[in-house]
Amino acid sequence: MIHAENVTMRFDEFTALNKLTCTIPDGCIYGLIGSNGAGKSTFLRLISGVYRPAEGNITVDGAPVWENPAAKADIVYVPDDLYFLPQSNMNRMASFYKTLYPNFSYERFRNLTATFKLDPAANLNTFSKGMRRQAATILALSTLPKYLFFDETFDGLDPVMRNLVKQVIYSDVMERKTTTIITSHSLRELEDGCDQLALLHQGGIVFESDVQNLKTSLIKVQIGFREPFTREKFEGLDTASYTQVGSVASLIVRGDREELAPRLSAMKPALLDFLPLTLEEVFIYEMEALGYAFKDVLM
Amino acid sequence: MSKFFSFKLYLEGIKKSRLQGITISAIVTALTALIPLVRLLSPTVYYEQGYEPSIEIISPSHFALPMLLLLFLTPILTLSMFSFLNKRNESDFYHSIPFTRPCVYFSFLASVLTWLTVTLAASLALTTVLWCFVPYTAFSVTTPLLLFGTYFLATLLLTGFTALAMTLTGTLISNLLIFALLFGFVRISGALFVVCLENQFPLMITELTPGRLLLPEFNMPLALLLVLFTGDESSAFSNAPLWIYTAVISILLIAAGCFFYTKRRSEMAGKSAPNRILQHIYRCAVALPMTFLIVFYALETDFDSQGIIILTVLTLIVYYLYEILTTKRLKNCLKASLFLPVLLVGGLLFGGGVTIASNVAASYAPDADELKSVSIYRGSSYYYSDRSYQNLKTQAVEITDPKVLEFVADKLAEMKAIVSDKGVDAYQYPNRRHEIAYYEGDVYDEDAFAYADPITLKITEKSGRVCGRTFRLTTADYSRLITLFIETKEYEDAFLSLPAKDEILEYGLPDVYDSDTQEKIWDCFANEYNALTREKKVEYMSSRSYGLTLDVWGTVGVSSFYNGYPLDPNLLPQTCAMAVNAANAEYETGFRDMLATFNTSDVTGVRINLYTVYYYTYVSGFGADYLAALKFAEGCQAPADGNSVLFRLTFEYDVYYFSRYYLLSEADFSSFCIQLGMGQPDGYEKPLEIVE
Repeated sequence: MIHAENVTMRFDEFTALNKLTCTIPDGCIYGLIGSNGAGKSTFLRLISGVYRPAEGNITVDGAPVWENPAAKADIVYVPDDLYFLPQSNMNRMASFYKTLYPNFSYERFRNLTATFKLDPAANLNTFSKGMRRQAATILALSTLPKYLFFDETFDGLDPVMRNLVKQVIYSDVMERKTTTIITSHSLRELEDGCDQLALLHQGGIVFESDVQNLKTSLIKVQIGFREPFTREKFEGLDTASYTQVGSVASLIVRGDREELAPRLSAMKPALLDFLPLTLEEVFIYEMEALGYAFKDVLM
Repeated sequence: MSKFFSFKLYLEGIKKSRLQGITISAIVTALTALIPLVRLLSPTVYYEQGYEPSIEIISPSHFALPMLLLLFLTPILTLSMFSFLNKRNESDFYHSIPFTRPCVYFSFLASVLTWLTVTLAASLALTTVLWCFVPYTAFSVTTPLLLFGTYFLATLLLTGFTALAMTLTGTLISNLLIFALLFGFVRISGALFVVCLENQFPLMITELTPGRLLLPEFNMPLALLLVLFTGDESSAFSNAPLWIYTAVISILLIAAGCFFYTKRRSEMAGKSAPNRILQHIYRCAVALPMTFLIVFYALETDFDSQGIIILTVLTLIVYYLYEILTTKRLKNCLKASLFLPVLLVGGLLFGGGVTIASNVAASYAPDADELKSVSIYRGSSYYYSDRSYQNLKTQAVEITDPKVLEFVADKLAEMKAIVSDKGVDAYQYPNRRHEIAYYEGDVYDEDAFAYADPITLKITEKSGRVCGRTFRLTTADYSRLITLFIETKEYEDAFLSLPAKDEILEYGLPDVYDSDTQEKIWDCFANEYNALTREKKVEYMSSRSYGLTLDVWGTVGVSSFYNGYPLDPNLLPQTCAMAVNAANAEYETGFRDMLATFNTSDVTGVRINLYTVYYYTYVSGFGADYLAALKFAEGCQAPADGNSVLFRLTFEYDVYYFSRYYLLSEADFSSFCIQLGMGQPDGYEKPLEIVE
C-alpha cells in the first residue's frame, strides 16, 4: 500500500504539491489525471524515490521510499521522457535492468517482446516514439514489480498499440496483483481500466473516487411531460444538474437507478429515458458540485 | 546490498563507459609507446654512426608528454560517466533505481578509476618493455612504479574535481566552468599572489613557506605539467608532501562530491546552479582571479591606466558572460550587477595581502640563537642537467654549526638593512651600478666583480618555522660560507662522497664499451679516490672538467644524478693507466693501420681532436704532417708520476674514425702539441680556493 500524507514539494518558489494526502491500496490501478503542471509527474517521482518531499511522508508498505533500496526494488517507474543507454538495444537494456532489479525475468521479457513484435537486437535509436514506449513498458513489466508507475504512458501510441499496452498492463495487474499508478491529462485514457481515479489540481487531489461507484453514483435522466413543469417538480431528488428545453428536461441525479425509476414513473411522464454517462461527464458534474469548473482544472 | 558500493553497478559503469575507456586507453598507450618505438626503429636518427653515444637515463620525463594527455582525458571520462546528472530523464532514472545515492556515486566513480588504472598500467607496461630494448638507455625499475603512483594520484585528483563540479551544477558549460574554477581558482589566485609577492620581494623563496600548498607546484597535474618546462622531476615524482597532499585532497573532494550528490535534487539537471545564491557565488569566483590580475598588473606597472581599463573590461566580460552562458537569460545580468562590489572587495584584499606579506618578509632577520639549522637550497629552479651526486647529498645536510648560524643571521640583518634603506634592487643587483658605469662610461671598477653568484639558503628556526632567502654575498663571504660548510663533517662527507655501486645505473668512458671493464675502472677509481687526503679530495671535487671524465648515471631515492669524474693522472694514476690501456685496446689494429697509411700515401683532410681533462683543441691537414708527432707520443707513453698529462686524440679522415689515449709528462705533452702544430696548450682551471 502506498500512503502519502501531507506531502508538499516545492521547486524554488513554485509549490508543485501542497499537503497532498492519499492512500493507494494494493492491487489497485490508480488513475491520476490533471492538466500540465498539476503535479502528476512530481507525485510519481516522489513515490519512486527520485524526489524527497519538502514536507510530509511517503511510505510504501509502511517503509519510506527515499534512499531505501529495499523499497525501491519493488518499484518501477516509467517516466514520460524515457531513458535508454546510449546506442543500446532491448537485449542490452534487459541485462542492464537485470543488474538493477533482481526479480527481472528474461522469460517474461522474451514473451512480451514477442507479443509486441519488437526486435530486441535492434538499436533503440531506430525505434519510433511509440515503439520506445512499448520497449520501456516491456522492460518495466519484466522486472515483475510490486508497484508500477506510468507517466503519460499511452501518449504517442496508436489506438491499436494503446489497447495492446493497456491489455498487457491490466493482465499483469490481474495476475500479479501489481499496484499500478497511471497518469494522464486525458480522462478518456483512464476510464476503461482504472479502479480508482484522482484528479490533481494545483498540487492537491481535488477529487478521488472508486470508478465503479463513480459510474453508478450519477444517473442521467431525460424526462418529458405534456403539462408545463419546472425544476421544483423534482424536489426531493439529489439533482446534480438540471436543464430544460421546452417540455423535456435533462437531469443528473445522484442515487440508485432501481430506486429512482419507480419514483419518476409515478410522475406519469410522457417521456422517461435513462441514458449512460461517460466518466468525463460524471467528473464534470462531481467537480461542479465541488465548486470547480472542470474546464479550468483539466483543460 | 551495500549502502556505498555495488559490484554489479560498478560493472555496469565499466560497460557504460567502455567506448570512452577503451579509446582513452588506446590513445594514451599508443602515444606513450610511440617514443621508445621510434627510437627503437630508427636508432641512426639519434646516434650518429661512428660515435659512441652517451648513456641516456630514462626518467619519468620520457613518458611525460603522452601521459599528460591522460590528465586532459580524465575529466572527459568522468564527465561522460556522470553525464546523466545533466539530463533530466537520465537523472530521474538513476535516482529511481534501487540503490542508494552514495552507492551509485562510488560504484560509477570506481568504474572511472578502473579505466584510468587500466590505461596507466597498459601504457606503462608496454612502454617499459619497449624502453628495455632501446640501446644506450638505462632506467631504474622504480621509474614505472613512480610514474604509476604519481599519475594515478593526479587522475584521482582530477576525477574528484570533476565529480564535485558535476554534483554542484547541471549543465555541461557550468560543469566545465566550475571544474576549472575548483581546479584553478586556488592555484591561479595563489600563483598570482606568489608572483606578485616575489616581484615585490624577490629574495624570499615562497616554495619554503606554508603558502606553497596553494602554489601550482602543489597541484599534482600542474606539477606534472611544470616538469616539462623546468625538468625538475623531483618536484612531482619524489615529493612526498605533494603525494600525501594530493591523496588527502582527492579523498576530500570525492567525499564532498558524495555529500553533494546525495543532497542534489534530480531536477537540478539542466540548471547551472541549484539556487540563485550559488549562481552569484560561482560567477564571482570565476571573475575574482581576473580581479586579482588587475591588482597584479597595477602593482607591476605602477598603475598603468590603459592596461587596467582593458583588464577591467575583460573582467566584466567574463563576469557577465558566465551569467549569460549558464542561465541563457540576458535579464539576469541586471541582478548580477548587484554583486560587482564583491569583486572590488576581493581585489582590495588581494592587494593589501601582497603588501603586508612582502613587508613582513623583508623585515625577516632573526638572531643567531633563534636559528636551528641552515642548508643549501636548490629548489625547483635547479636544472636537471646540473644535478650531481654531491648536490643531491649536500642539500639534504642541515648545518647547525653556530659559526654558520651566526654568519647567516648577520647576513639576514644586512639584507634587512639594505632593503630597508635602499630598496630590494640595491641588494639583489649589487653590481648594477658598476655595470652601468662600465658600459656607459667605460669605467672599470674592481668592486663590480666582487660578488659571487647568488646562493639560496633554507633557514630553519628553533620554533620550526622554515624560510628561504637568496643572498648576494661578496666572493670572499661566499668562499667563507662554503668553507664553513665543509668544516661540518656531515656536509664534508656528503660533499666528498662517491655514489655507492647500488646507486649507479650506468658507467661511461669514451672508447671503452665493455661494461665489466668500465666497472673495474670505476672500482679502481673509487679505491684511488678514497685513498686521497682530505685536501686532495676537496681539490678534486671542487675542480671542473670539460672532457675525459669517468661518467656515472644513477639515482638517489627518486632523484637522478649524473657525474663526470675527471681522469686526473696526477691524483688517479692507476685509474688513468687502466683507462688508457682499455681504450687503446679497442682501436689498436686500426690505429697501426692508420699510421701505415699516413706513412705510405698522401692522405689529406685529416682532423685530429685533442682532449685533456680541462682542454680541447684540434688541427687538420695532411696525415704525413702528423706522423712524426704521433710516433713521438707513442715513444713517450709513461706511467703517471705526479706531473703527467692524460689526453685523448681522435682521428677523422675519409670514412675512418679512431681514438688513441696518451699519458705523457707535461714537458713531452708541450713538445707534442708544438710538433702537431697546436701550439702551447692552455693551463688547467684552478679549483675553488679554500679559505682557512
